[in-house]
Amino acid sequence: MQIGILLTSSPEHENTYTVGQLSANFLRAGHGVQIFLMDDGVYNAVKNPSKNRLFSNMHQLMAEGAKIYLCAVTAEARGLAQEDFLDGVELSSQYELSHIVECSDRFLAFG
Amino acid sequence: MKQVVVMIRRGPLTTVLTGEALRMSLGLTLSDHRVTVVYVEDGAYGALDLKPEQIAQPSIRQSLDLFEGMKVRQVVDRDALESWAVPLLRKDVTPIKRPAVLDLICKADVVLSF
Repeated sequence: MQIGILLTSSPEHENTYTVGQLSANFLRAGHGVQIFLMDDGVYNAVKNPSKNRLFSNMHQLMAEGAKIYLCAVTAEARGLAQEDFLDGVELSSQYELSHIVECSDRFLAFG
Repeated sequence: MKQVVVMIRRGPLTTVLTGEALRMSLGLTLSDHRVTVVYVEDGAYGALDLKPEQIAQPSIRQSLDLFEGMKVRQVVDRDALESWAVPLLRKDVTPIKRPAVLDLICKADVVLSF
């Protein structure tokens, strides 16, 4: 089953942990996961080497096969560019989100 | 093509997310989804004729102007509005009763809550 997820809240919100754990378990169960980050949700994919950084397992999710996209418009509005994000994260558009919605058997929104 | 409901729950002038939800609604039509914007709870006031740009928030006019051409339907939970607000509704928004709102949500393939 293909699972699509929209995450619009920042890493300090419990949604990040929920999405991270749900996605990890979907992947382990053999499902495909595509996550679209928008608005403050884009901060979940920012490179941050701080040992005090808030929870984010986006890097591990990508290593396990998840595809992660983010809204380039909301990233740009926050002063963020491709080099600020984890390798493998794709800057994309609302068209990509509409495509994920189309291709998903289940679509979940967290915001 | 899927039936997509974009549900706006937050008050319109405390966050830019109402404008973001409208922008996303427009984007969803790019894959020919049938999109309905549903204003509920405090978000019902997002169906009034507002000018967020007057308090330095992004304008929502561009998205609204394109909705008709892209066949995006807008409805508001009439029961979520105080009576004074009803005459201030935008003409492109249809007030419906709460059971009809629930019916829309139940019949949707995807519900995106903002």
